[in-house]
Amino acid sequence: MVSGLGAALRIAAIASAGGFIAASIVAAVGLAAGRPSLRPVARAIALVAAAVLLILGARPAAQPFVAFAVVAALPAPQPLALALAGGAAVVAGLVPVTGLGSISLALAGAAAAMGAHALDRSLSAYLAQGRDAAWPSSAAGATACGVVIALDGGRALRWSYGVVSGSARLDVPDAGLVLGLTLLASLGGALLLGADALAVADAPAGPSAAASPLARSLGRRALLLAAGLSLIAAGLVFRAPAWGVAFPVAATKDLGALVVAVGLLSCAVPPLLAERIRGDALDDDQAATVLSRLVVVVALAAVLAAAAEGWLRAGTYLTPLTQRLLAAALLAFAASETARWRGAARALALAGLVVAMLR
Amino acid sequence: MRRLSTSTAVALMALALSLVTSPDLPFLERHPAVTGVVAGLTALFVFALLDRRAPRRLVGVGAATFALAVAYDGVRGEQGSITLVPGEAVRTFEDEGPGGRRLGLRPLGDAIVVEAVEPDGTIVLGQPEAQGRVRVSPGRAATVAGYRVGGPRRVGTRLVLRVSAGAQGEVALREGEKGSAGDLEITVARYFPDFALDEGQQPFSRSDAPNNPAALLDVTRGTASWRAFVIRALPGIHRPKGLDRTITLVDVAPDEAVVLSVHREPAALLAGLGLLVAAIGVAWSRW
Repeated sequence: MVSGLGAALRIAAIASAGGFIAASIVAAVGLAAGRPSLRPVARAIALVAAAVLLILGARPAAQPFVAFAVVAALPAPQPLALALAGGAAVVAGLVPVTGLGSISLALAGAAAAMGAHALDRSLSAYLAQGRDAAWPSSAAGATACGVVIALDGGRALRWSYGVVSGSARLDVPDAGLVLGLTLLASLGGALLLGADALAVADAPAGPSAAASPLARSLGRRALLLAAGLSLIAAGLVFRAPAWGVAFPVAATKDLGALVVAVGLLSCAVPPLLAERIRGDALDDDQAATVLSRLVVVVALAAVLAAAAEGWLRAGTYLTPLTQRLLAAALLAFAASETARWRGAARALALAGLVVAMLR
Repeated sequence: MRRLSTSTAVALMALALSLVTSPDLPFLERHPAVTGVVAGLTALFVFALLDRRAPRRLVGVGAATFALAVAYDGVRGEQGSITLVPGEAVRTFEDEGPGGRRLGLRPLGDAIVVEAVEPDGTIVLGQPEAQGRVRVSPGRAATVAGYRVGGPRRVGTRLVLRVSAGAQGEVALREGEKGSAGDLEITVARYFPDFALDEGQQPFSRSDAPNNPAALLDVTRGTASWRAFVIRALPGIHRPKGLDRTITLVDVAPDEAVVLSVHREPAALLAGLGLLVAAIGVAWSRW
C-alpha cells in the first residue's frame, strides 16, 4: 500500500514533470518564433518545477535524476534539456525509497544535463544558420520511435507491453496497443520529414521551406499525434491494474522514457512552423563548445567519485559503474575534440551519460 | 605523430576506447588478442595527448598515469572470492582471472572466520590470529590482511545431484559451482527454484521459493561434454545423446554459506591521481 506521503511525493514528481514539459514547449516556441519574452516564462516554469523536485533530494536513488533536473533548469531555458528533465522528474518520483546514495551518479546527472544543454546550443546554431528544420525534427521523431521500440524488448512491434516484476511478467495490453500506434506515428513523421528534407534540391530559403508542403504538413501532424499518443501510453502504464499495490521498478524507466518522448516530439514541431529562426549562430556554437568541455570535467569527476565509492563499498575501484562512467567520459571527450559531426557526437555523449545513470 | 595528435584522430581513438571500456559491450572477453589491441590503442591515445602544448599535455599525463595504474593492477593485482561457512576458519581464497576464470587457491595471509551474520546482511569476521574483528556490509568493504573484502552475499541453496546407471555418486553444488559425482564433472550452470516455461518456451523461475526446482548442468567426462537438464519432479527426464549416465536432482538443501569478493589493487591511489590530473588538464585547457 502506498502511504499518503508516498502518494503526495509521486504527485509532486508528476506535476514537476508536467512543468518541465510545459517549459520545454514554451522555450521551443520562444526560440522558433523569435519571441525573447517567452524565455523568462519558460525559465520561471522550469525553476518552479525544479524547486518542487528538490523535495525528493533526500531519497538516495532519486538524487542523480534530481541533480539532472536542477542543472537542466538553472541556465537559459533549452527545449531538449527541459524535455529530458521531465523524464528525470518522473523517474525521481517513482524509484524505490531505499538504497545507497552515490555522489558519482549525481555528478553523472549534472554532466548529462550539461551535455543536453550543449546539444541544444548546437541545434540552435544549426537553425540560426538558416538550415532546414526538417532534419532535427525528423531525428526527434526517429529518436522517439527508437525509444518506443526499446521498451520491453521491442514488444511494441507486436502491439504488446509488459514488465518483469520479480519472477513474473505483468502484461498491460492497452498500453501495448497505444505504443504500437505511437511507433507508427513517430516513424511516419520521421520518414515524411526526412524524405522532404532530402528532396529539397538547393539550400532552403528558410527552415520551413519544403519540397512538398503536403509531406511536411503530414509529417508535422504525425509528430504531434505521436506526442499525444505517448502521453496516453504513459498514463496507461502508470495506471495499469496489473501493478497491484506496488509500482514495478522496471516500469519506472519506461515511464520516464515516454515522458521524454512527449517532450521531444512536442519541441520538434515549432521550428517547422517558423519562417526564419533568429539567433546568433556563433554565440551558440561557442557556448556549446564551452559546455562540452565542462561535461568532460564533470564526467571525469564522476569517474573519480565512482572509483572511490567502489573501493570503499566493494573493495575495488574498477566496478561496472566506474567503467560505464569512464566510457561516457571518453565519449564526451571525443565530442569536445571533434571538429566534424559535432551534433551527432554530442548526442552520443549525452546518450552514454544517460545510459550510465540508468543501468 | 603530428597526424595522430590532430583533433579528429584523438576523437576517434577516444571513441574506440569508450566502446572497449564499456562493460555492456564485452569486447575484451571475446578474444585474448583484443586486450593487446586495446593496450596498443591506449598507448597511441596517450602519446597523441602528450604531443600537445601545455596545459593540454596535462590531460595526457593524467591519462598515462591512469592507464599505467590499471595495467599494473591487472598484472600484479589480485581478485577472487572466498566462501565461508559459519564457524569454519579459512586461510585461502579462490583466485580469479579475466572473465571469471578460476586460477586456483591463493593464501589470504591470515585466517578468518564468520562470527555473525546480521539481519541487514553485514558479516562480522573474526581474525583469530590477529585477534581482531572486522565488519563487512553490502555498502562497506573492509581490509583484511592487506586485501579489500566486500560484497557479502548469502548462498542460499545447494542442489543435491545423483549420478546412476553405471559409475555412481552424489554431490551437493551451489549455482556456478563444479564438483565430481561418479566419473562425471558437473557444473550447475543455472538454477530455477520454481521452474516454468514462458509463452516463448523459454525457461524462467516463477518465484524464489523451491516449489519446482530444476537446473541446467554442464557435464564433462574427459574430453566429452554435454548440457543436461534436471528437474526434481521428473527424475531422469533428459538423457543427453552419448551420455550413458542418469543424473537426478534429488533435493535442494538450504545453505548458510557466505561469499565475499576479495581484491588487492596496489595502484588504486595512482589511478585516482591520474583521473584527477586529467580532469584538471581538461579544465585548464584553452576554452
